[in-house]
Amino acid sequence: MSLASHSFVLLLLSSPLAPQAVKPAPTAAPAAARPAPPAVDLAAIAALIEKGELGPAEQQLRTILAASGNPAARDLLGVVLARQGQPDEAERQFRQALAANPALRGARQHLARLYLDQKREAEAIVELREAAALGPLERDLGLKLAAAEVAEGHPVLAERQLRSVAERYQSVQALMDLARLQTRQKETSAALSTLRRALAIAPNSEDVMNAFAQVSLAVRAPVPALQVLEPLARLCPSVAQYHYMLGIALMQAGDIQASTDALKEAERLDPGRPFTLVALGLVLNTQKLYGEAKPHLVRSLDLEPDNIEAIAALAEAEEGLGELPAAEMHAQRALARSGDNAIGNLALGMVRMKQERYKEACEALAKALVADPASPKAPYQLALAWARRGDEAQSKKYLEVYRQRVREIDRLLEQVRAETGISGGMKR
Amino acid sequence: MRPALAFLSCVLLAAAGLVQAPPPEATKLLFRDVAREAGIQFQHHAAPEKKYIMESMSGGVALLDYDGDGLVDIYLTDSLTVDTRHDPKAARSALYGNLGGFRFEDVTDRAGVGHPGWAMGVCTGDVDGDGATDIYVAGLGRNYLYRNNRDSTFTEIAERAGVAGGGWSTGCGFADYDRDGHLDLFVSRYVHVDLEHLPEFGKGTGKAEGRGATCQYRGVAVQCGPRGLPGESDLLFHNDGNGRFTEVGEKAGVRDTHEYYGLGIAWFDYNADGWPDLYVTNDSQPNYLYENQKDGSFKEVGFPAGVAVSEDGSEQGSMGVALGDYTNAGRPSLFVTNFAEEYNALFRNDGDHFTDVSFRSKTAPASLPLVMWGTAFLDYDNDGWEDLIAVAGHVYPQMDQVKTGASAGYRQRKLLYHNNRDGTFEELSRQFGTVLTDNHVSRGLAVGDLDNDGRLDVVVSDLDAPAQVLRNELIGAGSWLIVALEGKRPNTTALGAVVTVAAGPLRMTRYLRSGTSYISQDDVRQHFGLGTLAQAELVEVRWPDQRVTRLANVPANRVLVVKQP
Repeated sequence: MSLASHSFVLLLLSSPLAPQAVKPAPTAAPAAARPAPPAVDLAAIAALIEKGELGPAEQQLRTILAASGNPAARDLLGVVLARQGQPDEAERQFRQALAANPALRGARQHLARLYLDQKREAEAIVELREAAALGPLERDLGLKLAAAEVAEGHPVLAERQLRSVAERYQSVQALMDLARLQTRQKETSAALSTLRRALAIAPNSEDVMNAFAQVSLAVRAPVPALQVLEPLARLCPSVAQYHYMLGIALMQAGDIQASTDALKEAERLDPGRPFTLVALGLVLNTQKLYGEAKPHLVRSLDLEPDNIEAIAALAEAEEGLGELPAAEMHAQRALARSGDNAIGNLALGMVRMKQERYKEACEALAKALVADPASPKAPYQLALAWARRGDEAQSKKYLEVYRQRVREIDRLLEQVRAETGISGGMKR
Repeated sequence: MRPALAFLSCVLLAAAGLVQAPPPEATKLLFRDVAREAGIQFQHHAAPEKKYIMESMSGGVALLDYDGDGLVDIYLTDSLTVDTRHDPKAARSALYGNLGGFRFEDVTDRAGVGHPGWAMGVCTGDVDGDGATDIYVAGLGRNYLYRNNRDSTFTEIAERAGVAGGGWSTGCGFADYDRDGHLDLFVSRYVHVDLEHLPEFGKGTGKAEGRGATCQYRGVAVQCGPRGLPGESDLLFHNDGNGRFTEVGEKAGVRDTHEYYGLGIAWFDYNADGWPDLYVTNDSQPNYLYENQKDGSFKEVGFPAGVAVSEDGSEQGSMGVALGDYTNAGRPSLFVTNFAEEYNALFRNDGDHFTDVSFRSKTAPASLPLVMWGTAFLDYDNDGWEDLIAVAGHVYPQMDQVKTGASAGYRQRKLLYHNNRDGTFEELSRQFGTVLTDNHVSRGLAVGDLDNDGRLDVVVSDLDAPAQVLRNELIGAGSWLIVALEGKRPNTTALGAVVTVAAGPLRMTRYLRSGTSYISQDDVRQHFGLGTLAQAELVEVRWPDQRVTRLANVPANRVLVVKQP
């Protein structure tokens, strides 16, 4: 926001000196010889400025300054001059005001705005930091300073600014920026909480819903994601990204069929996006529709030959189709690039199970288990592999891990059903 | 030629009658539904909207020779509804006597087996060792044991014999698990229901039950359950040999302390140690495999054996189970039918464990859209390799209002898999006309040769509809042999016997059992396809007491009766 269009009424009221300016200046000692200066009504002058009546405002301010040198009045004169297109003179007035009263937070913010209008970014940030040290900044200036702090690698200072703006102005933008910052710092749970506040303020904001869904998916919290993605996909039926995210959320929630529908819609709206094709392949694999999954994965690899997730998912599809040599080759290719890839290890483990190479199966499946702690398949197959190796104790151990996973999935399904009501068909 | 021009040319030529549309894919006759012409007018009953889960789960089929005339008779169970629950006569189960030549007579009233209440499953066996086949009916409220009076009538003796059970029984099967000669009885039970306090349709807010129950399916109100509803334990009745049974489920380790939702059952000796083991399918929960410990108890080994859940560890909505040696390896494998969007599981018996070969065998993909129930291995073309059949139908009539996604609608087709003799199958029901591809809401299924022509027929129970009697009329089917066993008293039906036939390159094994499929009972006579062979070099019977009878050079195309020495 430029200085010319800024509301000075707010700025004035937010200034700690405003009350002094509105009331007659207190007299520390009676100056009997001199008549008391006229009462200074800076608020009235600010209103004139706001209305664009710059001439009368300037005249009154100069009268006041001639009588008392009031720094707050000088600050307002700087604003008038800036609006009249006299930035140099305005800057001089702001500086004089600040020289007289360095704690004049409004003047520092006005000066910062002037610098911003003149693209003097660094000087503006210096002033904003000074102003911030004195108290809360205006909404847009707080956001500006926060962005600068982020850019300069000061996340703590940035977070402080964003929280301040969010508190004072119920600013959705501040909350969004804060969530972004928290996400960047891997504080995804905090980010989700921040976005929840943003969503409470602006429940129908597409940006907020989108951000909320993305962060929810990042923390594998499909229930809150579904709560915004369902309406988003409905309200914006032509946006492929929302259908894609809805598909991912439904996949995380376990409603595989609905997930497939959403991903197919994303692919229809924006064909040939590798990440959609990989997601489709994964979800079709989950449904054991390996024959349908494979072409999507092959196509995604045509577009992105080194996509490890796609290579691993292709191995999984081939393993499901009984194409063991191809599955083994692709699983090993995925693992050569990323040895801890969950799907690659799972696919290799399944191949080894079918080859009755149980020791190697155990090794691959154990890696899959570590890489994807939520999946029940790896511990179940590990229990089987150990049983085939005749180790009942190990088999039981992994069976218990498997059961724990199943219980967690059941809890999630119940939660999804209870809180969204949209996924009743995923499990009978 | 550019495509548009090519298309235009075809249209013009067709209009001028110069080209003909390609003929439809040639269909062969395999099964024909002859229920009406055979005199089978059975009508199953269920409430139209199926607002409660009990109204979706019946009924069963048993193929038995109740009058010992060498012809297979048919028993079909019927069910009450919530509205008719106080009127036992509102449901009429039916026994059809086989008159020969594919003609049947309704002998229900004369036999006295028409009103076993809210009936679900059925199994048969000679419980008192008198040489006549008795009928056990599992159901909601209590179960019924019809003792065969050997004069074409039956007497209901469940209470007196101690096998009336209670709660909601579904599947059943006889076996002599302790090898004392007497047939014992296992009964699976499903959900605990209180008919006076049922969970509210679509909401699950009944007074006593249903909190947390699943009562919505893809956003549409449906019957509640089974998830969220309390389950019921299973029952094992030990035959005391004096006309009475004692319930020993807990002592034997098969009580089902988890109270899973039990449905199908199969008694079979999975590890070939001579002792009957037991497989129980549970809806939406892990299936059980109880390994016989040879001391009157069992150890549950479903998980380590690899038959409890799907390959990826998912608990499946398991309904029915078929048992067969489809690889001709001399080991009984399991085929389990499941809910839609799950796959039917083929668990190949590898000796001391099973391997899920559902996808490798190519049986799984076709089953994914279907909710499948009755099933059986059967060699429908007599080529010496067991094929597979399974019937389907959803539980929610409301399915037709729902965006079904990968699921089929309420009424569904059947699947018929041809054995490719290499461990894989080909689903080819479409080759055989509409009888297999027409949509039904099927439940029980039983297989047997109803006209003793050597071709296996199939009887299917449809929910709230007439039964289907599928007569096998395949032209060019191979030669065959049917082995009918007469066991020593008291197990005169020889349940638990294993019959192996060696013929040319074939070595086929069949297992006499009670139960299997979905709460149904196949004909206990064992059928073998011999392809082009005129005889079997060897027929070997391993009796339940593990003694062996061998017969050499048995001519094909006959019912061979083998008596236990």
